[in-house]
Formats: sequence, C-alpha cells, structure tokens
Amino acid sequence: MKKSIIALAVAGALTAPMVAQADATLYGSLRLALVSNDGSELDLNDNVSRIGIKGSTELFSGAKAIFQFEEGVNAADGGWGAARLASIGVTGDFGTFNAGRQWSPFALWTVLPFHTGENTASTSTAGYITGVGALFHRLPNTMAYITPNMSGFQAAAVAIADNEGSGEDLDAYNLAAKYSAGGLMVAASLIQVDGNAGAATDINHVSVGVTYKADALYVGARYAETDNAGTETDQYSVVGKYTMGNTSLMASYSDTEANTDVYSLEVQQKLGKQAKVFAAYTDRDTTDGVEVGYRVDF
Amino acid sequence: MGALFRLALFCFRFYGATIKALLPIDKGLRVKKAFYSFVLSGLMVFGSQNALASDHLSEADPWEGFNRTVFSFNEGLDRYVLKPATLGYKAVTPDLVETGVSNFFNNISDVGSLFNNILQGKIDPAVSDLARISFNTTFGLGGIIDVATPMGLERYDEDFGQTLGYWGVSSGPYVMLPFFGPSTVRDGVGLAVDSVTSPMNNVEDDSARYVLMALKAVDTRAGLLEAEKLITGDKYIFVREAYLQRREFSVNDGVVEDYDDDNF
Repeated sequence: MKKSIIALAVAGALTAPMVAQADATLYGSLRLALVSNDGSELDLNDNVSRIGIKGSTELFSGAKAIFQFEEGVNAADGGWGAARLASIGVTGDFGTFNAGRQWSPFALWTVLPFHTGENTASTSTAGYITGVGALFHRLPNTMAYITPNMSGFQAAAVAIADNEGSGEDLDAYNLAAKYSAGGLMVAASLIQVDGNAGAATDINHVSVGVTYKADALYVGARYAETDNAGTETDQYSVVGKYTMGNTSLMASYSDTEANTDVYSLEVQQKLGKQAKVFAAYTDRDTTDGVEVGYRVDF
Repeated sequence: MGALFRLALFCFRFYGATIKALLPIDKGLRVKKAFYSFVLSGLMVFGSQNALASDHLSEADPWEGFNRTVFSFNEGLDRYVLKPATLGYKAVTPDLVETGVSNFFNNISDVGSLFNNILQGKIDPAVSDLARISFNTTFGLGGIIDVATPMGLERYDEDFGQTLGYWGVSSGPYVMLPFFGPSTVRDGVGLAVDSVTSPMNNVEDDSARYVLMALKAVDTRAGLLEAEKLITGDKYIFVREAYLQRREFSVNDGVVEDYDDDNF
C-alpha cells in the first residue's frame, strides 16, 4: 500500500522542503513467531520484521532516480535491528544502476524463490553464504547493474568496493542471469571473493535454481557449490507449495554436505490482503519443533 | 408414503365415481372420461412408483426385525442413561464449554477427514483439513477454539464409510448397531476402521480414553437434542430414512442425482 508519509513531509517542510517532493512510500512487515522446539522452552521471537521507505523521482532525461532505505526491527523486543538496505540508483530503458547496500542478484534469483515458507527452518539463512565479512545476500558497499527484462532474459553484475586492504579495487563480485517463460524460471549465479578481502580466503560460489509454477502448484529446486580455499561443499534444496484460495500448503527440504538436513511442513492462511498466519512443523538434525506465526504487512 | 398415495388414489377413484354418477350424461362426457382416466393413470403410475420406492427401502432394510430389536435396546439405553446424562451435562456446563467440547471432538474427527479425503484423492479438501487441524490445534489451543472456520476453512467431515462409498462400494443392508446406532454394513466397516485409526483410540491411558469416549457420546447426543424434536410417526422408520438419506448426501458431497427443482 502506498502511503505518503505526512509526518515526514511535515518535518521536511520545516527544515528542508526538498525532501517532501519525492513521493516516498512507507512500508513494512512485522512478523512474530512462537517457537516450541523439542528440548527448549517456548519462545516468542521476532521473525525478520522490517520497516522501510522507498520511492522514485523523475529525472530530466525521462529516467527515474530510485531510493530505498530499509531497516530490520525487532517486533518481539522492540527496537531497531540490523541494517538491511540503503541504496540509490537510476532506472530506465537501459536497465538499472544501483549503489549502496542492496540485495545481491544471487539472493534475489537463486535463494529467495526457494523461501516459500515463513518458518525459520525454511528461511533463516538457508542458501546464504558468507563473504566479505557478511552474509552474501544484502551486500554493503556495492555497485550494481541489472539489464532490463529482454523477453524473459535478465542479467546482473554487482561489484563490492570496500577498502578492506586487499590491495584490489574490487574485493568481490557477483554475476547472475535468469530466464523466465511461461511458469518456468531458471537462474544461475557466480560469486567470487578475493582472498585478501574480509573473508580471508578465496571463495568461489556457484548456484543454480529452477522453479515452475502451474496454477495452484509451485515447485522449485536449487543447487549450490562453494569452493572455500580449496574446500568444496555443496547444498541443495527443494520446495513445493500448493495454494488453494487463501490457504497454502508448503513443504521444504534442504541438505548440505555436512549432513544437516532440514525439512519443514507449513500451512499458511491469509486473513486479509496484508495479514497472514502460519503453523509449521520443522525438523532439523538436532531438534524438531512446532512454530506458529502471525504477520502483518503495510 | 406408498400407503398414503394408495389412500389418495382410492379417494380420487371414489370421487371420480361420484362425479360420474352425478354428472348428467352429455356429449362432453367422453372428453371428461378421457380426462379422468388420464389423471387417474398418472396418479397410478405415481403411486406405483412410490410403491416401488417403499419396496426399495425394505430392500435396504432386510433385517428389519433384528434391527427393531436392537433399536428398542438403544432406545432404552438412551432413555435411561444417555439422555439423562446429556440433559444433566447441558444443565451444568455453560454453553461456551459445550462449544469447546464440540470443537475439540470436531478437531479430532478432522484428522480422520484428512486421511479420508486423501484416500478419495480430493486434494483441496485435504489441504483444507490439514490447515484446519494445524490452526485449531495451535492457535485454537488444542482444538477447543475453532479458529479455522472464521478463517474461511470449511469442515468436510469425511469418514471411511464415505470413502468406501466414493470408491463404489454400495451401502449394503441397513443395520442398527447396539450403542452406535443406525448404520449400514459398509458404514459399520467404515466405523470400525475410523475408530481404530482415530487419535482418540491411541490415547494410551485407559481411563482417560474412556472419559473421552463418554464425553464424546454425550457431546454427540447433545447435538441431536434439537433434531430429535422433528421426529414424527414411527421413530424407527424416521431414523432409518433420515440416516440413509444423510449418508447418500454425504457420500455424494451434497450432489444428489435424483434431485430436481421441478419436484417442488
């Protein structure tokens, strides 16, 4: 839902009137989950809530300047959480240039399509890798170029320029491409991190994913392989989701070489356009449990 | 019903004869005669159809003698044990608690419904059942609160008897089971399968299980108190007809082949 932030506009009008001129949308998603794991006490957790502002403003050339700022919030304890997004860019016929802290195409195309559930076993950090001192999904200090959608085909390149003392101008980069047609989507991503950067070792990460959507059914599978200073690990996951009106049934399974297989079964129910509940059974190597959650978006 | 129509037919014949006797013979008589015989033959066809229907029903109940004996045993049991217990239960428990108890047992029977929807290959109802159980068991505090219905998830209430019917097994003769009430051979088999697979049967503590079973019986009986007031005529026949029709309705998920608006 698009909302002009009146409060911000009023505040802006008092100090810097220019701020109010760009049409900004305040958005957010507050999510709570009650987790009952075998052998642990009941826990009411924040389930990756966030609040953000985004918008765009027209440029003289006809292109658009875009901006976004998003911060994690803790809906269980209150207070701000970790930084999520902070970027400004330009978008037009030529594609999108964006700089700051932003989603990597690796995450957008080969991880997030496989996070169909709300429970922690199906999302958490499943599929994410670390690099340059952070998880490689929302990258700081980045410059990105994303091509426009060319009859289903799209490619993206992201470079990290962080003065990590690696002796290289670019510490890491991510190249990715995806193709979608009909209900099918295939994507591939390559990440390379320089050994002298924050990660301390050379990292090569390749991931591929495919999803298919037919009417009520959505299925996806992904495979990723990480070469961390010569040590190779791989991971795969499969997800399925069946949607029936406001009700969805979701199943996820992922397995890594370290033999930590995780699966979950979840039912979601939309209570309204922007509110939903879920109940899930999760099973990890070490424990299994039940999670229920409530989420409101705005 | 057949008897009623035969009576009507007799009256009509009598009426026709009277009219015939009273009417002056005129040139219109031939036409009138044709008209009456047409109406009469129509009624006779209708009556014979009804006679067939009642034959069909006695076909469905070849063990009527035995069934009536069991029925009177059940009636006695109901009159002296179950109904007083139910009335007492309703008198002492607040409506809120009664609803909670009903919801609790409905949630348990949703588990059976889920398996039977899967066995019948009905995917959407199965998903709905699974969602109902998940939300009612968690958000609904173990099934006491039915949160799923206001969420828009309807109950299906499938059982193994319906699954057998869906697979094409005919209901077989009507049979009155002691304690369990009206059934058919097919639904009796279904009932046995359902009670073995029910989560309630898997409660390990014997006394807890018996308490649950007794409470369920009382809860079910409480639900019938209102319906009971509708019974007229021969109670045995009323119960049999109501049961057989309801089962046919359930097996076909409410789609009744014979149903025709023109009949009303």
